This record gives sequence, C-alpha cells and structure tokens, in this order.
Amino acid sequence: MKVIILTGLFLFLTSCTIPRDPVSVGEYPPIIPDYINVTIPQSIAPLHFMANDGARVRASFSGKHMRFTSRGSRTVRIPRGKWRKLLSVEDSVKVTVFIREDRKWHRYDSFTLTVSRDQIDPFLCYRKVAPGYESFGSMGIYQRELGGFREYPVVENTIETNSCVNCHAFASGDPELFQFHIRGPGGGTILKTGSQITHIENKIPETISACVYPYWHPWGSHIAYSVNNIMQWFHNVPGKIIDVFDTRSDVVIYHTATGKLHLFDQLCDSTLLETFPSFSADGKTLFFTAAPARPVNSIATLDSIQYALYRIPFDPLSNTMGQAPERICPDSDSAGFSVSLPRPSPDGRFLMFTRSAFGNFTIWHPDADLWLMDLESLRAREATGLNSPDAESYHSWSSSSRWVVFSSRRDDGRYTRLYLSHMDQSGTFSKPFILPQRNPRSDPRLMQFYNIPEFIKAKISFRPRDIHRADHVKATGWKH
Amino acid sequence: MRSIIQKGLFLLAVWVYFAFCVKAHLLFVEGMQLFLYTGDYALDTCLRPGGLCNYISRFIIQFYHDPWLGALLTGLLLLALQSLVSRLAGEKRKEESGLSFIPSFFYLCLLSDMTLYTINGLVALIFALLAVLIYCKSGNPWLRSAYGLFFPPLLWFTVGGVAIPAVILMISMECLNRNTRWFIPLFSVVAAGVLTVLAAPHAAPSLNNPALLYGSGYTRFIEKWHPVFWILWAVLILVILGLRHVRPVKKTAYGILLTVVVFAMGAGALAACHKTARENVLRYYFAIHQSKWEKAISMAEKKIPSDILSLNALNLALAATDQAGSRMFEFPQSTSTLKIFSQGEGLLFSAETLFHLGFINEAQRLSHEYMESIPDRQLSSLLVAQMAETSLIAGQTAVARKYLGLLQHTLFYRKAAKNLDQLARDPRQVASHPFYGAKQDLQPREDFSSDFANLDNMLARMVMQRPGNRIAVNYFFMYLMIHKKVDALHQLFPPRPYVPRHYQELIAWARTVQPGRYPAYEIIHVDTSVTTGLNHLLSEIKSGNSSPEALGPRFAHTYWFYLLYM
Repeated sequence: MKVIILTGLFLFLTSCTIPRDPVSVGEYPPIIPDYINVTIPQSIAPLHFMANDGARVRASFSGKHMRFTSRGSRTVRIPRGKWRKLLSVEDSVKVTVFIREDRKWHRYDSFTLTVSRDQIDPFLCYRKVAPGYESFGSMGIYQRELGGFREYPVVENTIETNSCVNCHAFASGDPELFQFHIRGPGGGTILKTGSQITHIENKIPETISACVYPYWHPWGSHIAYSVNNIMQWFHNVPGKIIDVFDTRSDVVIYHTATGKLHLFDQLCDSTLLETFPSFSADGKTLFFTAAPARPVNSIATLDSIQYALYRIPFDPLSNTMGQAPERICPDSDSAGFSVSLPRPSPDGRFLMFTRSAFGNFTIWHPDADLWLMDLESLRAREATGLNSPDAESYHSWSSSSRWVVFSSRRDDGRYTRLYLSHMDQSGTFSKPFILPQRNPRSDPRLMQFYNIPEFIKAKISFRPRDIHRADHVKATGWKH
Repeated sequence: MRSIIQKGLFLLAVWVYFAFCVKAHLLFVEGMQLFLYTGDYALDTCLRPGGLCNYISRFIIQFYHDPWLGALLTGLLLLALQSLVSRLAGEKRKEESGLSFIPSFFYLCLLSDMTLYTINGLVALIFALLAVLIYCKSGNPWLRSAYGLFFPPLLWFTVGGVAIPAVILMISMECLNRNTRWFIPLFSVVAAGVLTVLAAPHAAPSLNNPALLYGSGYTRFIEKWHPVFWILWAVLILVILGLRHVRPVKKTAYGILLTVVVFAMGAGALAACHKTARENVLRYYFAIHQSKWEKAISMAEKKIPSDILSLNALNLALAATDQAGSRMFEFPQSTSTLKIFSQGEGLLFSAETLFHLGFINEAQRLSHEYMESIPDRQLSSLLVAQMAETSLIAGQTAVARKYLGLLQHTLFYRKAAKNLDQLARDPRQVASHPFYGAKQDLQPREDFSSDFANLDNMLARMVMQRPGNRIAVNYFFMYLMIHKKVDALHQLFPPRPYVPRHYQELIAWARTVQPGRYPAYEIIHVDTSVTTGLNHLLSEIKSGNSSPEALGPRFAHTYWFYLLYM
C-alpha cells in the first residue's frame, strides 16, 4: 500500500513540475488548439491544449503576481481555480511549453495570453449538426457556458422523429426572447417570450415559404425573416461539394405581439432575391442582402449570383418601412463579390458581413471571409486577422461589441468550428482562438458541424417538453 | 453430462447459424457502429440511460468484424442467459431441463435479423438476471431491502428498460420465497421500482417513450414501438417461475426427449424467423463493397435475385467486369435496376455505385446521408472509412485525416487507417497510388450538378470527360439499353473490334425493324447466331406466337424480349 501511495505521490509531484535541463527550441510550440499569442476574456474557460503529435507536454503559466505549472501528461490541463485567479490578477500571462521529444524535454519559446477586461457574454448558443444534406440524424441546439465546459441541450431533434431544429435567434442576446424553427413532423416556429411559449405556423398564402432566416428587433417587438425557396446544387468536381441558393426569396417582418406578418413591396420585389435581414442597433434601420433573381441552370449562372447589402428605414412603432432600399455595399454591380450575413454591432458602430465571390450560403465557399463596415462612413474593409484560406461564415457580436464569435472551417476544410476574437477600439481584431474544450481532442473527433453561434446574456430556461404545451398561433398577413 | 451436451449442442448450433447463415448480418451490424477506444466515447456512451449496456454490447459487436468470433460470442451470451434462467429457476446443474433454453431461443429468433434487433437487449437481460440472482441469494432481509432500494434505478440507468421485468421477477421471487420479514425487502423493491418508472422520463428528457420503456439500444429502430420485448420478458418470467414448480427431470430419457422437443421447436421458430432474402441483400452489398465482382455474379448465377437492391449490385458487378453487354438480360431488368436511391438502405448501394462510377463527391454525400439515417444514430466504421477514402481521392486530405484519426482508435481498422494516414500526408503519394490515384483520374474534369432522376445525363458527361472510365461507359450503355433509349445509343456506338451480344441484338433489331434509320449500326458486325435468333423471333411473332409466355423459354434472355415485353 505504501508503495502505491508513494508512487502516486511521486507521479503527481513530477507531473506538476518544470522539467530540468530542457533543450531550447527557438520557435513557438506545436500545440493544438493554437492558443499562441491570443487575447482572451477574463471569464473564459481554461485553455487546455496538447502537443499536436500527442507527445508528453507540460506548461508553466506566469504573470506579475502568480505562476503555476500545469497538470497532465499528454494534455495540459489547467486547474480552474488557479486559472480564474490568474486571469483576475494578470493582464498578460506568459506561457512556456515543454514537450517531450526523442526522450528529452524541449522548451519552446514562450507565448503570451493577453487578458482583456472587456466583457463577454456568459453563454454561447449554437447548433450542432452532422453533415447530412437531406437526412437529419442527431442534431440539436445547445448552450455552453463560456467560463466552463458544460454544454446543455436546449432542444434536440429527438423531440419529433426525423425533425430538424434550426435557426435559433435572440433579441439582443436575451435568453427570454428566443425563437427557433422545427422542420418536419410537428414543424413550425417556437417562440419564447418570457414564460410564454408559442408554436407559430407562419406559412401564409402570400409568402413563398414559412419563415426562414430570423433576426430579432433589439426591442424584442419584431422579428425580420427571410422567406426562401431554397435549392441545393451538388457539385461533381473535386474540391467543390455543394451550393445552396434561392430561386425566390423575400423579407417579411413578424410582429410578436399581434402575430402579424407584415409584407412590404420594398422587400418583396419579385425581380430581387432579398434575404438575411438584420436590424440596426437602434432598431430604426433594416439591413438585408439582395441579388437579381434569375434562373439557375448552369455553373455559370450559379457563379454569377452576387448579393449586395441594402438598408431601409424602419419604424417599429408604426410598422412602416421607408420608401426604397438604399444599396450600400458594393456600390456597383461590377464589384465582383457577394455580401451575406450582415450583423450590426450592438453599439451601432460597425456591421460585419461575410464576403465571397458569389451566392449567400457562404459556409460552403472556401473563399468566404469576414468583412467590417463602418456604419458612419459606410466603408468596408476586410476583418484582417479573422480570416483563413478556408470559409469563415456565420458571426455574432457580444453585447459589449468587443468580442465576436464566428464559424470557420480552417481546421480541416469541412467541419465548422467556433472561433472567438477580441476587437479593440480601433476595430482591429486579435488572433482568433477556438472555443476551448475540456479535452482538446474532442473537436478533432467530433463528427458534427457547429453553426449559428450566438452570444447570450444568461442561460436559457427552456424544456423541450414545453413545446407540447405551447399555444398554437397561425400568423396572418398584413400587406403594406 | 446431459447439461453439458445440451449446452454444447446449443452453442454449436448458434455458432453455425451466425457464422454461416447470417454472416452478412454480423458484418453489417459491425460496420454500422464505430466503437472507439477513447475515454470520451466511453463517457459519452455510458453516461446515458442504458449506456453501460450499450457500451458493452458495442464492445462485443466490434468482434463481428470476424463473423466466426462474433458468432461464438453471441452464442456464449445466449448460453449465459440460459444458465441464469436455470439458476433462478432453482434447477440443479446436473438436472437442467431443456425448458430453460426457451428464452435463449426466443432471443435467437430476434437476433436472426440483427439489422432490427441488437444484442443490447440480451446483454441487458443478462445483467438484470444476474442482479436478481444476487438479490435472491441474500438471506438477510435488511441487505435485500437496501439492495432492492438501489437496484432498480441503478439497473435502469446502466442497462435500460429491462429493469422493469427484473423488478417484477424480484417481487415474484420475494412473494414465492416468503423468507423472514419478506415484506420489508418487498416494499423496498416495489417503492424503488415505482419511483424509477415515474422518474425515468424526467431523468432522460431526450429519450423517446419506447426507449424509456424497454431500453435505448435494444433495437436499432429506437423510435418505434417493439412490443416483442414485453412478450419476451413475460415468457422469461413465466419460464423461471414455472420451472420452480416443475419437478426436476431426473430420468435421462425423459430429459433428452424434453430437450429434443424444445430444440426442435426452437429450430422451427428460427427457421420461420430467418430471412434468407435479407441476408442475400447484405451479401450482395458486401460483395460490391469489397469489389468482389465475380462473387456477386456467381451468387446471381446460383439464385437469380429478385429484389431491386441486389439487382443494382449485380448490374454494377456486370459493368465492372465488362460482362454487361453480353449477360445483363440473363437477369431480370427494369428501370429500377440501375437506380440511384435517395433514401433507405438503397443509399448504401448507390454510394458504392457512384464510387465505382467515379462520382466521388456524390458517393461521399450518400455515405453521409446514410450515416445520418442510421436508425440508432451511431457513427459507422464502414462509412467513416468510406468517407476517408473519398476525401483522399477528392484531394481533401485534412478531412480525410480527421476520419482516419477516428479509425485509429478502433481495434480492427487501426492498422489500415494508420497506413492511409501516412499516405494522406503527401498528396503526390495519393496521386501515384495504384487504387486511389487511379480513382482520382476517373472523376469528372468539368463541373456539373447531380441529377439522379436523369442519371444518363450525368453518365453522358462523365463518359465524354473520361472516356477511359470503363465502368462508367459500361454502365451508361446498360442504362440506355434498359431505358430503351435506342436513339441515344445509336449516337454513342463507335466502331469496336467486338460488340457484345446484347448490343448486337439491339443493332440487329434496329437494322431489321427500322432499316436505314441508324446508319452507324450498318457498319457493325453482327454474329450470324444473333441474326438467326432475331429471324426466329420475328417468324414466331408473325405466326401468332407473340405472347411472353410462349416466347419466354427461348428469348427471355435477349434484349428483344426486354424491348417487347418489359
């Protein structure tokens, strides 16, 4: 027994110490995930990592006021208490990584974790779905605490056989003003407004389809939706998988209190494909993207669909829309790119969008990148630092407008993962880092995409069985 | 001795049945799961209601990769069930009656279709009966009370809905035994059982009702009701309780007779449940999956398949071996026998077809689609391996390595995955690889959209862009023949040194019935035997013998017969 205890103690102690006489390596350590020189929020979960070849690894974390050495053998696991304390007292943490290679410990160049005091919302809500294109296996909408690793299912598609749950959205990150769609059996839009759960049937004769891509008005009074006739194009050459495009689409406004779908001629132009609406931070402007409607019958026509960004004044009190939408990006048809997913920052200063060569379903476009528009000057520039050679697509702002979370395929070109980045006062982004996981191997092994990451201000209180007691409402149209 | 012979015979019979009669079922079930030797997988599987049972079952199922070993393990599980039934029934080891085999035969019949029922329910039953046996062995009422209090929820969480019959069995045993202060443990068991049933839906809100009531993995179709489990459990309880009241069978002759009757009835029930056609479909699938073309064709030669999936597999084998043009109408053909399926098990067959035709993206997509539609929502080792291969061929090495990384945590795919991972590190090695490199060269050069409803359009583009894609060329000709697109065929026929028999039949028909319409056919050599055959057919028709029944015996295997009557 003594032997076992002493051996255990020895192993514990040796696993928490810095190796002696390591060989110095003049480069940053090859670790996964890549947390080298990133800026992190004070409240983020511990950044566990490992050597990318699975070798034994240790790390020391030091700042002005405290230092400690990690536990673990193949994975650097950081004690949560020490991590909390470290981030609360330090503005900058030096991390030195030691990796055991060829029976010797190697010390790599130290890197820095910059701790930002800018607030980040405590929870993130996203969907996880496997890459089926017509079938729905296991999928669900989940919420994850950013300060830890616990993930809670909000709703999974086990609620109904062969159903699909999608398009969750919140009014300014408020978990009490929340909606998502169910497609398939028992389909409809589930709307949670405080303690009230409503099951909305929002396909009306005047619209192309049921409501699709949502964006809540910041006051929670309206939800702008696109209605789309969505098609898929399956490619047959290597490197291209699928394109998703609309043959028809419009934008409509749902009034949550009255259950009315407001239809405006300005947003339902049959010659245009209007989609991806979003409200400005003050709620007085509606942004959306639109492209000329044309039949898609060849690769050439598919590649020529380019969306532009428009805005139009909106008065939420009288449910009225401005006279005509104003095109704000790009300013000419010959610009040669397409705009998708416009998302204004909550402070009203910027609008982030995804830019790609064509189309609007940008997650399947490796060239898709994030761009930033200054809403005062209406000048757009690439969100340098966020982009990779693979697709960056859906993005969401934190309530403080200082953090963004976005989906990216940079890891393997296929499976979308979530990355976080800090934006400073000048609109410069720090190097993005992947959403930390308890086990750094879990993301590479996960056979699901993450999509639609949304910051939320608190945990959603929603039980899947609430859907069965929801009030059923049939939306009615109101043509302006 | 009698008991040992009984068990030995049972094990041998079960082994022979699984290893030879439902071998493809075992391979299929193994291929439709991905058992990973990782902590994450263990935790993720076990920390769900019924999860431990699922984990153990999946651990066993991975050995189905070797059907002989899988058959042995399944036999041992069924034997363990029989032994527990016998022990609970209070039989002495030497005096086991054949009646204790009834639940094992019942489960054997269920397992005759492993694509529907799994061994999870069997493993769960073994756990449950073991737990009941431990309960019954305890003489201390307080110990039994404590055990009875914790056992139902624990059993429900670890092995699922089988906790219900286990509780009923414990209650029955307690009532029958009536040991000292028997009502105390009885109350504990009843209370714990009721509380477990009431709490279960709240403890696992994401589980649907059927899975809550009889276990999450006992069947692959987890969302449907399968009352057969309740019948099984009722039979099990009746057998155990009944045997306690039957006098031990001491006379050897009577014992042997009873065993023979039970075994004969069990064998009869198994024969009634066995689905040869289903097994054959799966055998065709594995034949084309492993590119064992001749095996698929020889299976068809022995017994002509009648189902659409097998015929699709056979047609692919005929195309791959260049036998399509001379043999396709030896087998029943219709427009569904060359089809790309968009749902169900057809997806698996179509993924193979598209893979061999060179539509690698689409093969991969259908693999994803099928994995998403696996009824118990597991990952599939077979399909993940296929995704790794298709990604490798399509040049997506990063994602290929992701899939290979997963497979490296399995027992049977590890070595191959490691080798492929080495290959994936260098795209030049992939390009020069005799199999993957060759497959790369068979993909379309220019992009077009998939349209499975008009497969001929896809094949036409493929054949134009990759005229060296032999399987696609054969398949295209087959498609046009079967869809009777004579005009399209005419445009495609290049001069060839040898034109296979069915195409000669088409050419002879076109020359005779519509002379001059197809100039390209005029210069192609047609064997005298074909011309003579056509003349016979036409003279038969002219003489009034034009019914398919009359012409079938002589002309059923010709294109003319298909053209006229199918």
